[in-house]
Amino acid sequence: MGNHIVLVDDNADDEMLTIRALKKNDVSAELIVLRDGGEALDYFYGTGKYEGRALQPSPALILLDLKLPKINGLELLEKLRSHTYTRLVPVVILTTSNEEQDIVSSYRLGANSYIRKPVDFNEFTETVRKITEYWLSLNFTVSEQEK
Amino acid sequence: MTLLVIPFHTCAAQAIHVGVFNNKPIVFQDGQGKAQGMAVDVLEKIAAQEEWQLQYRFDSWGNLIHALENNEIDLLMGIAYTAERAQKYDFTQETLINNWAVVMQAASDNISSLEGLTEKRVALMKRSIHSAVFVETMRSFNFKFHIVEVADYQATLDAVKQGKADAAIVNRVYSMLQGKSDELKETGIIFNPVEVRYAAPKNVHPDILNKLDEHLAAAKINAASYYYDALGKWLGSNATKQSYQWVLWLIIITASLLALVVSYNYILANKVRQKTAALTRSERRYKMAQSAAKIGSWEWDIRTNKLYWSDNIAPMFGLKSTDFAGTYDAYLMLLDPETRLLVSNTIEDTLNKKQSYVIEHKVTWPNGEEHWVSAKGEVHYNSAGDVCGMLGVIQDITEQRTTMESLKINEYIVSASRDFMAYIDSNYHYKEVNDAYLQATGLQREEIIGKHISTFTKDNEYRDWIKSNLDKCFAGEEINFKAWFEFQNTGRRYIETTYSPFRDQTGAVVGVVIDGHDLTDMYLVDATICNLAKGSRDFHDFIQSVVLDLAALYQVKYALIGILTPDEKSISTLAVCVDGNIIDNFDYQLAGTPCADILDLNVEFIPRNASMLYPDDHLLVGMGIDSYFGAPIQSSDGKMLGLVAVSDTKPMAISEVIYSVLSVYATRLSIEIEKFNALSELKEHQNHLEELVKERTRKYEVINRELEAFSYSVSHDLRAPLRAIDGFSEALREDYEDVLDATGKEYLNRVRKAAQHMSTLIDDLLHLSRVSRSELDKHEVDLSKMVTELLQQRLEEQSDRKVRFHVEPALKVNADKRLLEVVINNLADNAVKYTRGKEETVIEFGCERTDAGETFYLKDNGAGFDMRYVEKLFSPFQRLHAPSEFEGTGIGLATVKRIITRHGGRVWVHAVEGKGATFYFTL
Repeated sequence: MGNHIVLVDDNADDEMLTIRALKKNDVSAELIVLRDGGEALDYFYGTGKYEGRALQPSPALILLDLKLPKINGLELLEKLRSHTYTRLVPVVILTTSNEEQDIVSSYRLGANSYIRKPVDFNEFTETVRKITEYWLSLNFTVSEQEK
Repeated sequence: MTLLVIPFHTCAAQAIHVGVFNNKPIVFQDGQGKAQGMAVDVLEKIAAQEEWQLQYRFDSWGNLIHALENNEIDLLMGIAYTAERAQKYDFTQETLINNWAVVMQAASDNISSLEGLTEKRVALMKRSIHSAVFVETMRSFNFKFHIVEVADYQATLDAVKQGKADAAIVNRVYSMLQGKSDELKETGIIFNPVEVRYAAPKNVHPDILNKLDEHLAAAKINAASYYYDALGKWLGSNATKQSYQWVLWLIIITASLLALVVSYNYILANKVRQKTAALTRSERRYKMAQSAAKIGSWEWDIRTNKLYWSDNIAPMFGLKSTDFAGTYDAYLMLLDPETRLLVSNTIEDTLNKKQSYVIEHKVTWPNGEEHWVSAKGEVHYNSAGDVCGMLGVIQDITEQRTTMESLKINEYIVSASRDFMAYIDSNYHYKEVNDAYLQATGLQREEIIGKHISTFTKDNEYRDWIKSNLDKCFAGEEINFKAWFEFQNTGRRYIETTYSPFRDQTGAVVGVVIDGHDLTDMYLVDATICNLAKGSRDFHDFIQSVVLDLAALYQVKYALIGILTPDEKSISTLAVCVDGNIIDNFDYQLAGTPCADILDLNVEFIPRNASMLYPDDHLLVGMGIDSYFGAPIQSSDGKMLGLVAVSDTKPMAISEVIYSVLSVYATRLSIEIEKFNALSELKEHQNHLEELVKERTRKYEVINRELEAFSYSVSHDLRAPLRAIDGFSEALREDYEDVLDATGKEYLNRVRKAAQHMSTLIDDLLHLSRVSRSELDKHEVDLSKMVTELLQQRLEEQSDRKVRFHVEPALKVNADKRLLEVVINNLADNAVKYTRGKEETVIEFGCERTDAGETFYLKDNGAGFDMRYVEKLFSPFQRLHAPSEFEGTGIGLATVKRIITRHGGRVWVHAVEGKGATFYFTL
C-alpha cells in the first residue's frame, strides 16, 4: 500500500481547490489526478498511456467524482472493486450530487464513503481535513501482504 | 149382465124425472117408445141399486134443456159438460163418455178443412153445444157458411143425404154408429171435445148426482162392471177406451161378449175374472213402476179431442191433476211457443204418417222451473183401420237430463282437455283414453283400448315410472310425478303425471285414472329463460347460446339473430343455428323477406306456406322454409336494431306460453346488443385513451429522464462553478490579503455570499423537483410526534429566544413520512423565522375536524403578511418579505404545496400582517 492519493475529477477548479485544501491541511501524501474514467481505467489497469506502469503499490485513498467523461464514476468504481489491486483500496465518493440514487448505487458498488462537496470553501477545506485525517491516519487498511 | 131395462116401480121411492132426447147411442127413444142408450143403461143399473124410480120424458134436446133450466125434470142424460152450462146446471163429476164433434159430408165431396166449409151449407142440431162451438169457430176464422138448422143429429145426416146440406155436425159417438153409410163419409174435421155427463137443475138434486158419481167411479175402475157392459153394448168393439188400458178393455169387452155368447158360461166367466184380476195386478205393478220411473201414460181421443192423463203426468207439468183441462189444446197451451210448435208439428206429422214418435221437450212449470219430459206416442186405429187417436207415455227426464248433461259436459271436458287422460283397469290395460292421448301417441282408439300400458311406452319409462307408480296407485295412493316421456307424434315431452285410484262402491280400487299434463313448453321456457337471465360474459357466446336455445324451444331447424346494417337494407347475422349447430354468419338483403315485415310490423308468425307468401325471398325458398316466427329487436329509444327469428321446413305450432317468449328474447337481446355496442364504443375509447396514456407516458418518461438529467446536471454543473467562485474568492482573500484593502475584502465576501445563496437556491430547486418526481410511500405517521420533534429541534437552535409551543397530541395520518417531514420543516422554519422579532414566540399545531375530514394547522404569532398577496405565497421564488428582512429562497412553500397536492390534500393560509399567520393543510 502506497501513500499516494488518487483524485479522479474532470474539473480543474475542483482539482486546484482540492490541492489547496490538502495543502492547508498539511497532507504530505502525493496526489495523482486523473481527468476522466477512461484515463483512470488505463491508470489502474496499466493500459493505454499507463502501459507498463507498476500497478503496485496501490494508492492509500481514491477520491472519486461521479460525473466523469467517458466512463462515469460508478462504472469506474465497479471496475476498481473487481480489480485485484484496487479491490480493497478505500474509495471516497466526493461529488456535487446528493441524489439518493447516486448514494445508494455508490455504497452498493463498494464505496467506503460518500461525501458531498460543499460550496463554501472553508467547509470544503474542513471536509478534506476530516477525510484525510480519517482515511490516512485513523483508519487501518489491509496491508499489501494480506491482500 | 142384463140387457133389460125395467123401471123399478116396486120400490117405494121418489120418482126421478129423466129427460130423454135423441142422441143415439148415448140416449134415445126406441121404436117401442122405450128409453135406450148407454147413459140409460148405466143410469138404470145405478137406479136399481139405489131403488130409484125413473120416469122418462121424451122430448127434443132444445125442450129438455129448457125443462132442466126450469126444474121441470130432475135429470138430463147425455149432456155435454161446459163451464157455461155448469153455471146453470149441476153436473156429475164423473164423465160418462168423452165425445167431440165431427163434420160429415157426402161421400162424393172432398171437404177436408174448416176453410173448405166456406160458403157451404152445414146442417146443425139446434141448441147443441157442438153447433154453438162450430159457429163460433167459423166466425173466428172469418169463414162464411150457411146454417141448416135441424132438430137432432139424425136430421143433420139426413139433410146431407138429401142434398139439403153439404156437411153435417154430429158428435163422434153418433157418427160412429149412425154416420157410416155409403152416402156419407168423415171430412176429417173434428173439434170441441166434450165430456158427456148427467145434469140436474141447479142446487136441486146434489144427492142424486153424488150417488151417480159414486157408482160411476166404482164401475169405471172395475173392468167387469155394468159400465163397461154398457160401453161394449152401445159402442161395440170400436169404442174408444178411457185411459191407456184400451187393450185391457178390449180384452174385457171381447171376453164379456164371448161370455154372453156362451150364455153365462161360468168357467169362462171365472177365467175372465181371473184374467181380470191378473191384469189388475199387473196394472197396479205397472202403475207403481210408472210412478217410480216418473212415467205417465196418456191417451188422446181424436174424436172427443180429450186427452187423458194418468195421475202422475200433471205433476210433471207442475200441476195438480185437477188443474189440467184434459184436452190436446190444453196440453199444447202448457208448452212454450217454440216447444208447442215442435210438439204439434211432430204429432201432426205422426198422425199423417200414421206412425209413432218420441220427442224430448222442455216443460216450464207455472213456478218458472224448467223441466224436461220425454213423450212417446203412437197412432191408434179402430177396427176399420181408421185413426182414432194416439196413445203414449210421458216420462220426466229432468234428472236424467241433468245427469246426462253433466255427464256430457264431463265427457266434453275430458275429450276437449289438452291433458292426456286414460283409464287403466286392474290388469294395466287401457279401458278408455281421451283425444289428447290419441293425438300424443299417434294411435287410434282401437289400437289402444284393451292393450297393456307397457305396449306403448319405452321399457325404461315403464320400469322407472309407470309400473311402480301404478302399483302404488292400485294400493290406494294418489301419485304425482314429473318425467320425460317419448311420444310417437310429439317426441320427448316433459309430463306431469297424476295417477288417481278409481274405486267401486265397496271402496276397492278397480282402476286408475291417468292424467298427463304436458309441461314441456313451460320446462323449456323455464330453462331458456333461466339461461337468458343468466346471460353470458361474452356477447358472442351469449348470442350463440340464445339461437341454440330458441331452436330447441321452438323445435325448429333454423334460428337466427341479426342486426340491421347501417344502410338498413340488409341483415347481418350475429348467430345462426341450423339443426342445432352454429354456422358461419352471413349478410342478406331485406327486401321481399318476412324479416322486412318484422321490422315494420312487430311480431310476425307464419305458421305455414311461408315460401308461397315470400316467393322473392330466394334464401327462404332455397332453404325450403315453410313456417316462420320472428320478432324485432328494438333499442330502448325505439330504434330498430335487428331481429330474432326461428323457422322450419315444416309447419310450426306454437303454444301460447312459448309464443310470448320470443318477445322476451327480443327485449333481452336488445339490451345485450345495446350493451355490446356501448361496450364496443367504450372499448374503442378505452383503447384510444390507453394509446393516449401510453404516448403521454412515453413523453412524460422522456421529459422525466430529461428532467432527471437536468437536475443531475444542475446539481453537479451549476454547483461546481459556485464552488470555484467561493473557493477562489477565499483563496484570493487569503493569499492576497496584503494587496486587498477592506473594500476589496468586502467585495470578495459578497461574491462568496452570493455563491452560497445560489447554492441554497439550487438545493431547494432540486428538492422541489425531487418531490415532484419521487413515488409516494404512504404509511401511518404520528404527526404530533413529528411536529413536536421538529419544533423541539428548532427551539434548541434558537436557545436565546423565548419560545412556547403547543402541539395537539396523538394526531395520526397516512402519508409519505419523508415528504411530510419536508412540509413540517418548511412550516416550522417559517414559523420560527417570522416570529423572530417577537418578544415571545407562540406556535400552535392542531387539528380541526369537519365533515369533510381533518384540517391540520400551524399557527404562529409572527409577522404575518398582507392577505392581498396570498396567491403569490405558494408559487416558487415568490416572496413577501425582502431578504434583508427575512432570508429565504421562496421555494419552501411551493414545495409544501406540491407535497400536499401530491397527497391529494389542500394547503392554504390565513394571516394578519403583524399579528401572525396560520397555515392549514389537509391530506
